[in-house]
Amino acid sequence: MSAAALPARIAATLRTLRDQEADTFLLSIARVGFGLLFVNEAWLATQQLRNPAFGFFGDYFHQPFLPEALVPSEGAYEALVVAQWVAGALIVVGRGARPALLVAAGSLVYTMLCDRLWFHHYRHTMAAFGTLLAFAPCDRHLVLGRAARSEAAPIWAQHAMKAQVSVMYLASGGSKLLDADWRGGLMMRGMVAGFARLVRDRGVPPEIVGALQTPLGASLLAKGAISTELALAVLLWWPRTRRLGLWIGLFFHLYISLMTPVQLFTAEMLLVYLLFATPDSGGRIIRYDPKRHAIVNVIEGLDWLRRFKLEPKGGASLVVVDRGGEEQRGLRAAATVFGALPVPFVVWPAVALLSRLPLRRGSPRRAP
Amino acid sequence: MLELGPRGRTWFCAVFFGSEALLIATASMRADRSYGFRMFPEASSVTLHVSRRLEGGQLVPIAGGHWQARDCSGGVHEFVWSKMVRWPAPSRLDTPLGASYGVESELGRARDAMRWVLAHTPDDCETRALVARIEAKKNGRVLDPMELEVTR
Repeated sequence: MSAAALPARIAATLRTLRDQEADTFLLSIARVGFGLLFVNEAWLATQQLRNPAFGFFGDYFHQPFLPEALVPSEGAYEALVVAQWVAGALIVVGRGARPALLVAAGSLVYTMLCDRLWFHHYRHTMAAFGTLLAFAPCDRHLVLGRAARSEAAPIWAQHAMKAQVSVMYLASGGSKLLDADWRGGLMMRGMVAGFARLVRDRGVPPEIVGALQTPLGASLLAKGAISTELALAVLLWWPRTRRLGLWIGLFFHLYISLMTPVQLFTAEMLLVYLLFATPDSGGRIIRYDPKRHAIVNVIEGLDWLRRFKLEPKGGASLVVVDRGGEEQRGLRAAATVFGALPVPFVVWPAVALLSRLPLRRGSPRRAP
Repeated sequence: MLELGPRGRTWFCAVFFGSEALLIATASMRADRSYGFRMFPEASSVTLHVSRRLEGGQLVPIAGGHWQARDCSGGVHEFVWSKMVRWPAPSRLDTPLGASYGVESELGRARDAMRWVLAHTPDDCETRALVARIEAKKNGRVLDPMELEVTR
């Protein structure tokens, strides 16, 4: 491809992302997840109001970005918290969910502007994702008291949420790369030391915690974190590397949750990871014999993202038909199933590697 | 309003991601580097020792976070730092506190907290200023002690 053709190709790709229409089930799952996170924010705000050690933030030292006149009174703040509860509930049940997402995200931003002490990266991230989700057709499935609408709809905002993920990884990884203390491991060493007790209490062997606090351990950990973030910003977008990127990202965020008190940010990122899956419910088919292939019941139970369409037929062989129509059996079929179901995805690389071993591929004793 | 046409989508994304780029690029200008997605910026801590500067310049340390002072009519009042400055602001004095958003952010919080305390203690007619001596560790390195003074 010539250099002159590159801008035209980028423009064409952006147009495709802007105009694409597809299945919206994944967006609905993300909506329910974010709704629960917004409800959790309302609960945290309520806890703070009710806790005698805290109470209304305006009654003690707070650090507003906004002029003090725009900081709410206690009564107005309580009304805002009620609005957060209502918005969170509406998002979860799917009724008026999209305007409610804007209200929930807006109230979170407003609260952080009223008191910088309330700022956390996860809250900023939640507000950004909530705003983008409001512009996505996330209210067509999983709506209380209303049948699902399965027709395709514009998913440009879903792509915008994916772009947001890359922006975050680039900003985070880039700022760490430019920070000598970070890339050299000094910050990481201090952080591991600070959370050492917490990490040991979570069952990480003290020897490992100790090793991570050595200059070499901390330096490797820091460089690994920076490389991972920068790589994920790109890996998640290429069809060939996307699944591997999701797997690396899954363990990256679970690792962060294990080593630090950060939990809600991990929940947000894993929810948005769902949106990187191809938006086509039932895009793959499993043909099977209901009498012989009970394993399909397990697959059905774990297929929360509706990746597979099941086609039972007496006497049929167990076959997975991929999107392109290719029939897969044995380990190759298992790799496809493990790669598409959220829970077995954890061990997907091992199954995928096994399925690619030449010995197995050439074996005449392939599974029927 | 939430169903945008192709033109609206383009404008929305331009404004949304343009604003975000601006916030990321200017994060260094804010003490807490907020809105720049700079997760885990520092593993730092600060210890805040606050004293009251009285009429005549005398410095009296605030011990245990408590002090007594007279109002302008001569009545004695008790003041408690931690009731006015609560977590995650520097609520405890003379004790190392984590500064997860960085030393600079914690210094800004300490300065603003001292301003707030002075502005909200009208019954303390003795204190002319608050002076903080700050010991800080940034990513494990001990920094030179710093001093902040905020006058009423």
